[in-house]
Amino acid sequence: MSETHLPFDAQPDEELGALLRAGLDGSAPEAFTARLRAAVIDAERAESWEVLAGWARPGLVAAGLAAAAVLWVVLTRDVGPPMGSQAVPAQELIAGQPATGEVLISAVLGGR
Amino acid sequence: MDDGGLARQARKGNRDAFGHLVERYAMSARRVARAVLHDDDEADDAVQDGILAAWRAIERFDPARPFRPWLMRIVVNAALDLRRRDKVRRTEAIPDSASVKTAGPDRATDSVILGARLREALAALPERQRVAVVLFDAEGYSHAEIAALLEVPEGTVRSYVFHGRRALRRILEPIKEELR
Repeated sequence: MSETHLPFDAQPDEELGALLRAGLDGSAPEAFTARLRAAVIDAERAESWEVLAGWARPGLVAAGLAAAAVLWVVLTRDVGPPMGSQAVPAQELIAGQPATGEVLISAVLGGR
Repeated sequence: MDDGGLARQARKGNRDAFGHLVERYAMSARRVARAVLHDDDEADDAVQDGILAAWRAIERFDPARPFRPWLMRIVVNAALDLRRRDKVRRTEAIPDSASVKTAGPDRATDSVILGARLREALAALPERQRVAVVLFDAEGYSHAEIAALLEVPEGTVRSYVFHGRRALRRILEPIKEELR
C-alpha cells in the first residue's frame, strides 16, 4: 500500500484489500450467514401464505355469489302465487266441466 | 458444485442450493454493503433485503452468466435504496478523529482501532469511489464488472478506484505506522 502505484492500476492492491476486508468483515460471520438462510426460509413460508391469501379473496367472492344465487332462488319461490291459485285447473277438471282457455292461461302465467 | 450448478438448482426451487450460494457470498456482500452504508446494522439489513430479492428473482437469473456479479448488483442496489431512504444524513467530510494519533494502543485493540479508522476513511470518500475500491481491492472484481454493476463507463471506474485508493492510503498509512 504505497503511493508508488501507477495511476489506474489494473491489479488489486493486496495490502489495501486485506485491510478493507479486515475492517469491513464485522463480527459473528456464522451467525450472519445463518440469519440470511433463515430469512430465505421465512420468505418462502411467507410466500406460501401469500399464495393462500391470494386464493382466499376469489374464494370469498365465489362463496358470496353462490350465497346470493341461493338467496335469489329462495326469494323467488316465496314470492310465487299461492298454492290455491295453482290448483284452479285441477279443481275445474274435478268439477267435471271443461276449463276455459282463459282459466288455463291465467293459471299458467300466474304461477310464474 | 460451482455457482452455475447451484444457481440452476436454486431456479428449480431448491432452497438448500440457494443457501449454499448465500454462504459463499454472504461476507462479501456484507463488506460491500458496509462500504455503502455507515451503519453496520443497516448494512446487514440491506444484505438480507438483497438476498431475499435475489431469491424471489432467481427464476429470472440466466445460469449461463456469472452468479456473483448478479447477486452483488442486487445487494448494492438494496444498500443504495436503504441509504436513500435513510433520513439521517451523515456528513461526507473527513472526520477530525481520522487524523488524530492514538498513543500506545495495545495489540488487543489494534484491529478494532484499525477497523474504526478504516470506516472513517471510507466515509470520507464519495459513495461510488467507496464501492469501487472495495469491489476492486477487497473483492477482486474487474473494472469491467464494476462498471456493469454501477452502470458507469469502465474509465469512470478506473478513476473512482484511483482517487479512492489515493485518499485511503493517505489516511491509513500513518495509522499503519502507528500500529507497527
